[in-house]
Amino acid sequence: MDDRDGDFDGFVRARHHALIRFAFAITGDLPTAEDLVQNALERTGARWNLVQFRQGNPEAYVRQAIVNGNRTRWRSRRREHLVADVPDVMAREDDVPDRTDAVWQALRRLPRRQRAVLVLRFCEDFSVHDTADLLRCSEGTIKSQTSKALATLRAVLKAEEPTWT
Amino acid sequence: MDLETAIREAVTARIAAVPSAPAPLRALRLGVERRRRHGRALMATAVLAVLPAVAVTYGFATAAADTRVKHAQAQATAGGTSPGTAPAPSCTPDDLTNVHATWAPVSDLVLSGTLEVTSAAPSPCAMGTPRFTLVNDGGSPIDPNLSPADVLDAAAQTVIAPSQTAAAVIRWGGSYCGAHGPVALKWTLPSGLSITVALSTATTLQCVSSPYYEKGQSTTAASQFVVVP
Repeated sequence: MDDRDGDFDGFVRARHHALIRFAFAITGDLPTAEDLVQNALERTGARWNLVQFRQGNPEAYVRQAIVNGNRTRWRSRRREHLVADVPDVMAREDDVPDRTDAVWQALRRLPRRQRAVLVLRFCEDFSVHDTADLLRCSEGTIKSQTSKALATLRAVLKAEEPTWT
Repeated sequence: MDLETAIREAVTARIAAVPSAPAPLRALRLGVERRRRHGRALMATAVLAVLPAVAVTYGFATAAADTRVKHAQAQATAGGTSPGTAPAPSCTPDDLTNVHATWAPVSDLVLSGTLEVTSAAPSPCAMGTPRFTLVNDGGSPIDPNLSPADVLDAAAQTVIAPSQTAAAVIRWGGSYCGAHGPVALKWTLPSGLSITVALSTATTLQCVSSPYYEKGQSTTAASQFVVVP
């Protein structure tokens, strides 16, 4: 193991959980998030020197790889097997309240790109410019995607709960 | 509560429930190594795909250059003859020095000798074929009807390097009748310019008739130049 692998291991130890949570936020599915993070970290590790010294911000590179991996996830999803009956999941007492659950479920139904925009903008506190940079699109696209996503989300939540404002 | 805050709370609540597990470093290292091997294999494949084209192009270029170098070396060091057109320019009278000719009787009817010359040119030059006519002491051809010397292997071209000496064998045979025998030879260079070279011994062949030459008939001949070691 050379120095670059040592640095990479340190980065993974420090940021792995945060990256998993980020991936979970934009996918809404923990196993998928773990797969995305694993792939993104493998890519990053394979070109660690390049990422570290040219880009200077390995975490931004990994996040971008996670977002791109989520965008192209349809390729692997085609290999998934659909089943008629899903296993029962036991509810836990410390489950999140219904209201946040409704928002979370509505978020999961958004198109991936819109969901990623909302997570980056409102949960990761990215600016419009940084979000556009990460998603490799224009700032105007980010603004329009944010507007559409919020409108969709509001409509879905109002349909389920008319008292929602 | 506005929608943006609700989104933040919902996502924060959910990701807070994500269990913290140790990073799968071993699996990651294996994956990283696999991707590095994959990248190296891709690179090797690309190089192997491009290499033949590069090799062919490089081979043609170096072969042509090598041929030129060998050709120039052969001309410069050995001064040997080579078939085809020599790339070196033709020698001019200014390129040549120490030009002299000697000859001696070989038989009653034949004189044989050498025409020697040293190159004073700064670079190799082509000697061309040694075409000459014999002139008498009045500077005129000894026989107006005598054609220039026949040259053996006229297609060959000798290139002489700077400071090298080249020599050609000259021969005159015949039955010459006259008061003024050949005292010099007029050597015409490929450039068209000529050099008149005094013969070491002015010799008048006997005026005889033989089965080979009638009275007053003669022929001249010369070999190609060769570099004198």
